[in-house]
Amino acid sequence: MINFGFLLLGRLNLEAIPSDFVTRVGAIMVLLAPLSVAIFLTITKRWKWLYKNWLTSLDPKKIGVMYIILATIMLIRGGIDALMMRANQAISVGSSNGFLSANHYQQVFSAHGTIMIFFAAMGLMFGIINLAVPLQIGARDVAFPFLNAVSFWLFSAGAILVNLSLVIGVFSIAGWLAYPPLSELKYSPGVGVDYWIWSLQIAGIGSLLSGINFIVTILKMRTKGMNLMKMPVFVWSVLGCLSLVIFAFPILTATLALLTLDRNIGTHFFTAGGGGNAMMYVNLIWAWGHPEVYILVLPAFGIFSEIVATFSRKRLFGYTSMVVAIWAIVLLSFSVWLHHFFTMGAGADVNAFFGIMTMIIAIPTGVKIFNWLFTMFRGRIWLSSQLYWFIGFVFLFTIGGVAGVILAIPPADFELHNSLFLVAHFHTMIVSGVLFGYFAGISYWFPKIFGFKLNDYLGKIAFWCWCIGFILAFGPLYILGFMGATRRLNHYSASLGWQPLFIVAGIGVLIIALGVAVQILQIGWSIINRKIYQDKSGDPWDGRTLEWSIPSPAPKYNYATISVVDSIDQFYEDKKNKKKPSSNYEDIYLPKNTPFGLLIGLIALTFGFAFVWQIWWLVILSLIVLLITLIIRLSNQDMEYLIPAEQVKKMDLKARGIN
Amino acid sequence: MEEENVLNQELVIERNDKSILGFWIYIMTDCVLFASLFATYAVLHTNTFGGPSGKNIFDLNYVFIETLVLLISSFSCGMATIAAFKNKKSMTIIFFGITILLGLTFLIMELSEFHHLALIGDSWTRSAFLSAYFTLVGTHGLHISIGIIWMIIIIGLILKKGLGPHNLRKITMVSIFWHFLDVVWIFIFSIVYLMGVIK
Amino acid sequence: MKKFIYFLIGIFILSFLSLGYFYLKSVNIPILEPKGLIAQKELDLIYFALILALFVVIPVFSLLIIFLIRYREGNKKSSLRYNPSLSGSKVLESIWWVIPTIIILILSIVTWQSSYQLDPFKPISSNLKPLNIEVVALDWRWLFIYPDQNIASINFLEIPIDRPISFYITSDAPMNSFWIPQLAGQIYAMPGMSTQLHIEGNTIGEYNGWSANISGNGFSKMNFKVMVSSNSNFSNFINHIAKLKNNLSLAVYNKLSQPSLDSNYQFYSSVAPNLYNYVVEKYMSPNYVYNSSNISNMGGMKN
Repeated sequence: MINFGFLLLGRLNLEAIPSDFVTRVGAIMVLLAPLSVAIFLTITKRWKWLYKNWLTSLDPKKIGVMYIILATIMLIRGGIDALMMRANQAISVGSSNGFLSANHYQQVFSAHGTIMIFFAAMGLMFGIINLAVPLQIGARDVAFPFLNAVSFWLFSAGAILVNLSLVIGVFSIAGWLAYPPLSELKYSPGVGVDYWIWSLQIAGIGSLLSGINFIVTILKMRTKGMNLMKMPVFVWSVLGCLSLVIFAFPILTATLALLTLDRNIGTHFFTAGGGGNAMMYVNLIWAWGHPEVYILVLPAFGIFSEIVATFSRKRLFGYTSMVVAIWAIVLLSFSVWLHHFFTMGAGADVNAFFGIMTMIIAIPTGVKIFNWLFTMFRGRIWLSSQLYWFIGFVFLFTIGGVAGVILAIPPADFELHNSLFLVAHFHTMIVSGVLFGYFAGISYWFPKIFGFKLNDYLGKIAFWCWCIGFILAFGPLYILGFMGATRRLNHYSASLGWQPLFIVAGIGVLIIALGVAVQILQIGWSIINRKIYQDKSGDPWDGRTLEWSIPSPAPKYNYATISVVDSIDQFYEDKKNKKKPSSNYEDIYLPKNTPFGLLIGLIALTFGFAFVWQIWWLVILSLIVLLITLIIRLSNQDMEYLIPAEQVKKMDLKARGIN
Repeated sequence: MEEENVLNQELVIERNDKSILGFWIYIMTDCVLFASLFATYAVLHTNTFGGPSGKNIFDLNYVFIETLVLLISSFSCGMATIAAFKNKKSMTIIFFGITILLGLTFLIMELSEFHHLALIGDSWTRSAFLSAYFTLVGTHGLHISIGIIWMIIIIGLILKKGLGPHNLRKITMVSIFWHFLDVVWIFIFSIVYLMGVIK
Repeated sequence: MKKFIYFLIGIFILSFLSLGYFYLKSVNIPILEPKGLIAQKELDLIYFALILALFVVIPVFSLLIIFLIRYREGNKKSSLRYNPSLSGSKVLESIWWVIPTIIILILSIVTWQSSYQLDPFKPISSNLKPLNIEVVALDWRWLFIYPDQNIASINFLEIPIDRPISFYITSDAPMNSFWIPQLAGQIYAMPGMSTQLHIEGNTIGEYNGWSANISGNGFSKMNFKVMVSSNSNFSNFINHIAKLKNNLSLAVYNKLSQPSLDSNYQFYSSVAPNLYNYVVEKYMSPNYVYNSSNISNMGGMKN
C-alpha cells in the first residue's frame, strides 16, 4: 500500500499549524507583516516600481540596501525573541511557570541566536560591504553582479525559511548551534532542526558566494594606483573577513550536510551509538563558528577605522599596524575554536594551548584599540553620533574583552562556561563590537547612498538607549553568572534570589527596544525632512576616501571618471591640493537588471521547504528547475548595457550641479 | 566566429580574468569542504561499531581500475582544452565526449561498488566508519556527476556558438574542476583505500 | 533647569547603585563564595586575570576620556593642538605591541600551569582514599552511584568533608554538563564517554548542582543538591540508605532512563553491579548486553 498522502505532502499536515496562543500570535505577526507591505504596494501601485528598481536590480548599492532592510527586520524579529525570553525569565520563578512552555522557550532562544547571527548581523555586514566596498576602491561594480544578486536572494530564502517555521511547524529546540545528540533524530524527531539546517545551509551558500565575489572585486577592481597598501582600512578588514568566509563557510556546509545525512538517511556521524562522535560535530561547528565571530567583527573594526579618522579629522594612526593586526586576527582565529568547549575534557595540554592562542588574539585587538585612540590624539574631534557608537564600543568592548580573557583560562572557564556570564560576555562583544559598528557604518554611508544625512540628535538618543539598555540588560547577567545561573534556563527557584536581576535585565531589553524604535524614527524623520538634511556637496563629513569625491546619492555607475590614487587618504589630499575631478569621460557598461536572482531564491526556498517536510518530488523538481534556470541564465550573453561617454558627462555635470 | 555580439573585447577579457580567479577561489572552498570530510573520515575510520573495517570491504584492484579510468579522463579533458584553444571544434567535442564516457564509467563502477556493499548489509547505516566512507567517496562522485552534466552543457554551447572567448572561459573552468576532482580522488585513493587495506 | 536634571539623574544612579549593593549583600553568590579546594583555586585564577587585565583597561579608559576632553572640537585649545599629519609613531606602536604581549606572556604561563594543576581528570593528592562516585545524566535527572558503598541516589549527593571525591561522569541522554559551582567547575556528561572530575568539599553545608548544558524540555529542572557533611553524618547517610531495601536493578534503571520531569530525590539500597559501565558501553558496540560479572576496574574507560 503506497501512502499517497506522504508522497504528495511528505510530513506536512494540519497539525503543523501552531495550536498554542503565543505561537499563533507570532504566526499571525509573521503573516501580517508581508501582507501589510503587499497591501501598501497595491494601494500605492508600486509593485512594478519595486520589481523594476529593486527586486531585479544588480546594482550593489541597491542590493546592499535590501540586505540592510531585511537584516533590520530580522533584528527586530530576534529582538522580540529576546524580549520574550527575558519577560519569561522575569516571571517564571518558584511556583509560576511563565507564559512560555519549556519547549517553546527553547525554540525561542534557538531562533534568537540563529536569527541574530545569521540573518541580522550577517545581513547588515553584507549590506554594508555591498554599499561601501565598490565605492571605496573606486570601482563601478562588483566582480560578478549577478552572483551578488543570487547571494542576496539565497540569504533572503534562508531568512524566510526561519520565519516560516513559526507559521508551519516548529523550530529547533537545540540551541543556535544544534549540538548533537540533542539535534539528532532520536531527541529531535520533528521538523525544527531541519528548518534550522536548511535556513542556514541556503543562507550559508549565499554568504560563501558573496565571499568569493567580493574577494575578486577587491583583488581585481581597485582603481588606478590603489595598490594593496593604499586601500582604505575598511577594505582591508573586509578582505580579511572574506578570507575567513571562504575558509570557514565550507566547514559549515559540510557539517550541516553531515547532520542532514544523520537525520535523513540514517548515517552515524554524530549519533550516540553506531560509532558516531558528537564531539566531532562540536569541533567542526566551532571550527566555523569561531572564525564567524571575527567575520562579523572585522568589518566593524574597519568601519571604526574610517569613522575615527574622519571625525578626528586626522589620518588613521598606524596604518601598517592596523593591517598587520587584521591579518594576525585572521590567521589566529582558526586556532582558538576549542575554547568554546574546554569542558569537554580534552587533556590539559590541549586546553592550555587553545587558551593561550585565545589570549594571543587579544594582542592585535588591543593594538587596534590603541591605534584608534591615538588617531584621536591631536585631532579635532567632531562628536557626531557615529563617533558616539565608537566611544560606546571602546568602553563595552574592553569590558567584554576582560571577561573574555578570564574565560580563556581553562580552569576559570570551567566555573563560568555555559553560565549567564558567558552569555553576557559574547553579547558584549557582538553588540558593541558588531552592531555598534554597523550602526555607525550605516549612518556614515547613508548620505552617499540616499543623498541626505540622518538626523544626528535622534542618532545620539538611540545610542544612549542602546548603551544604557545594554548595561542594564547584561550587567545583571555577569552577576547572575557568578551566582551559578546557567544559560537557557526557563525556570528557577525563588529561594535563589535571582529574580530582581532578571527583572532589571528585562527592563534593559525594553530600553534597547526603545533605542531601535528611535532609530526607526530617526530614519523616518530624516526621510520626511530630507530637504533639510540633503547632502549637496557629496562630502558631508569632510571625508578622506574616494567615495566622498563623487556626488550624493552615488550615481548608478559610481564613478563617472576613473580616479587615480597615490596616497592612503587620496580624497583628503585632493581637497588639500584643490585638485579637480578628471573630465576624462568614457563609455560605461553596466549589468542589465534580471529576475533570475529572485527566481533562484524562490527555487531555493521551495527546495528548502520541501526538504524540511520531506516532500521528495518537490525537492527533485526544484533541483531540475534550478538546473534549467542556470543553463538559461548562463547561456545568455546579452547582459550589459552601455551608457555612452557623452551621456555620462551630462549626468555627472548635472549631479555635481554644474550646467 | 559567430560568437555573440561582444560589446567590448577588452571587457570580455577582463571579465574572463575575474571569472577564472573567482573560480580558483571556489575550488579552494571546495578543497576546504573535502578537507572537512577527510577530517571526519580520519576521526571515524576506526569506529566500525562491530562492522567491517576498510580491510574487509575494499578491493584494491577494482579501485585501481577506477583510478586509472579517472586519470585517463583527466588526460582527455586536458586534450579537449588544448584542442579548444587551438580552435579545433570537432576535436574538442570528441575529447569532451571521451571524458564524459570515462567519467560515466567511473561513476558506474563506484555506484556498483556502493550497491554491492549495501546488498551485503554494509551500507552507510552500519557504522560511523561506513557513514564517513560513503559520504566522502559519494561527495566526490556527486562532483563527478556535476562535472559530467556541465561538460554535456558545454558541448551544447560549443555546437551552438563555437569557440568564442565566453565558451573558452567555460572550458577552462570545467577542466580546472575536472583536474581538481582527479587530485581529490588521488587523496581518497591513498588515504581511504590504500591506508585502509594496509592497516 | 539643566543642573536640576543632572541632579535628578545623579540621585537616580546613586539610589540604583545602593539598592544594588544591598541586594548583592543579601544574596548568595556561589562562585565568589567557594566551599571547596578546586573552586577556591579557580576563583583565584579569575581574580588574577581580572587584575592583570586592568593594566590594559585603565590606560584605555583614561586615554579615551582624556583625548575626548582635550581634542574635541568644542575645546578652545583643540585647534592649537591639531596635527593632521600625525599618522603613526614607531615608538608608541611598539609599546602597545610589546606591553600586551608581556601581559599575555604572564597569563600564558599561568594558564599553562593551572591547566595542568586543575585538570579535571587529575586526582587530588591527599592522605585520604578518594570516594568514587559514578554520575549518569538522565532525561532529566541525575543518577549518582556510590560503587564501593553499593548505593545510589537521584538528584541528591552526600559527600564527606575534606575527602577527595572522584566523579566518573557519563550520560544516557543528550549531552549535559555536571556543575557544582561552589565546589568545582563543570565538565560535560556525554553518552558513550566517561569524563572525570575530582573535587573536595571543605565546608559543611548544602550546595546547588546544575546541568549547565541544554538537554531538552526538563533541562531547567535538572538540578541536584549536594550535602557536604561530617564523616559520621556521611556514614549515617550510607547506613540509612543501605537499609532501604530498594534495589536499582537493570529493569528499574531502564525505567529511570526514560524521559521524566519527576525531579524528586530517590535512594537505592543496592545497585546492579557494573551498571555504569553498561551505560557507557551500550553506546560503543552493537547489541551490547548487560553483564554483571564483567567487572572492569573503575574508570578503566577513559574517553
